[in-house]
Amino acid sequence: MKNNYITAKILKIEKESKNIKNFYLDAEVDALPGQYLMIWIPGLNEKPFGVVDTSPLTISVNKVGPFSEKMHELKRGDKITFRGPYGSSFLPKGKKMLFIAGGCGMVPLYFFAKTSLKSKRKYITVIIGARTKSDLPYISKFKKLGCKVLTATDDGSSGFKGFTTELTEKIFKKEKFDGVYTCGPEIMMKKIAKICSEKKVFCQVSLERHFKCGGIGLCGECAINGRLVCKEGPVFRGKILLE
Amino acid sequence: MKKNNIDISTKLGTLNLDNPTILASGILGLDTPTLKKVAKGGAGAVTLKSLTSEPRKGHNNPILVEIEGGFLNAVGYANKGIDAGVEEFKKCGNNNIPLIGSIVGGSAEEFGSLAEKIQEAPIKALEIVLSCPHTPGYGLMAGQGTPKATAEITKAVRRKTKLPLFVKISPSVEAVGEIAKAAEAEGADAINMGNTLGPGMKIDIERGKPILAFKVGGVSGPAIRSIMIRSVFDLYKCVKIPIIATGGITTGDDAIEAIMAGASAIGIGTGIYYRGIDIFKKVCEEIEEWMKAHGYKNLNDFKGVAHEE
Repeated sequence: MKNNYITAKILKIEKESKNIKNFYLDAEVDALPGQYLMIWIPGLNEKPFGVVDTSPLTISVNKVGPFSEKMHELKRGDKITFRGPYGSSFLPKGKKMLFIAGGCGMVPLYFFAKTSLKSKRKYITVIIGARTKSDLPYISKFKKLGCKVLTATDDGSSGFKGFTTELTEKIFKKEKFDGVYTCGPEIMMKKIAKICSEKKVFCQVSLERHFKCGGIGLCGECAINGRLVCKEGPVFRGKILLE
Repeated sequence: MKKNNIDISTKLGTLNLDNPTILASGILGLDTPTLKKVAKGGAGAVTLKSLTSEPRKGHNNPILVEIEGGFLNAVGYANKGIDAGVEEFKKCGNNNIPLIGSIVGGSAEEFGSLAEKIQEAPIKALEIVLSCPHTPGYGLMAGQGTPKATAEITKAVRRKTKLPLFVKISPSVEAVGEIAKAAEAEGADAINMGNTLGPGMKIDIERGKPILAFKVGGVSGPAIRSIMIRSVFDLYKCVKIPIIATGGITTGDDAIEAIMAGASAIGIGTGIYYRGIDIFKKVCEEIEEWMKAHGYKNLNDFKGVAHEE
């Protein structure tokens, strides 16, 4: 059976930003960048979380509701139970790649950058957007990998003042990219997909939907235009948002 | 006539199907584009996920857990409700692939009014489900798995529709024959045998808790197939109306076995997990190959042969 639940202990908890915590677990998984796990809290619910790193298995949790609040209460040594990984993954394209992340969308993109060869990471430009400076996650992590990091905040407290999509348009005027990858709010990804479609640049988006069976592909809850986000996605070509 | 002069078409009441495979209710049947995709995968007909009078959130996750030979599920009838459902499925238009409506209610009256409303969608047949093992207020948890309740509900729905009417019953109750007879007597055109079995439970031993949020769930998949086959075999002796065999059918061989027990059509749900969305096409090809090897021309040539002395 592929859908067994695995229970691991929390080795370390790290505060990433105001609302994001990283959990390092005493487990390893065989996952590709873009794939996700279903995390189960007994008696509460089960939700999808992107893989940050496979060894030790690392996940990032953004506090957005009752489930993630419960996750944030966990301490070192507590148990986390998951199944997976599930779903499709990012496909590297060419030399120069642009990553655009909103909020917790940097999780699969960080894992993607980390799996790129060290010598190639300097050709990766990462745009991270958030409301304000204290909400910006993963900047030092991406910098440590050797990627070029740009930030966009609503209030201008860090980097570009405005949306990630505006910064993307600005960069596109100066530079060319072989592949563009985005994860974050759907309205942002749709805009990015549109820009890429006009410029005929390869683009992948990582979609988020409410999952029920989560990765099994039987319940149909997450369908978009007849495609199951939990199984055929979450990573799709950008055109899925333009249909 | 089909290729090689082999004809696998079948009939359920006045509903003609090009092939005997039907997408079972509750699997992928939430929206029009997904149903169209299943139809492209070769299904002879597709069944909507059951609609209720009001929208329902269903149970919390996990709603599905894998076990040996199948899954346990406790979805709890998550659906948009009859009004939004009808709007969604109107988009199906008049497909070549027949659409089967599915409704669940708490009482005969509620079934009756749902039957009336769902006909605004372009359905070619209507299935009523009296057999869910895991949702309070519906199916087995509302006492609908008895001959008396089956008769009342079938009668109430029959009054509201001229469409072919299928009654989906449970393999978990002893009186399958009596229940099917009650449905037949009140005008059902076919019996769907049947729903998931159980309920069952799976406990995670590291956490010491049942995995399903609802704790128990209906069992589906190859694990329940032998019970379904026996149930179909029993029903074939009890009723004259056609039987749809649903429960663990994954291959052409499984479908042939069900037809030999007396089924006229077969439902597929969990099988999609094992063989993909085109499982319908694969099963049909496997049935045809087997028929060719055995010199059969149509499904009636071997339907119910397991009953011959």
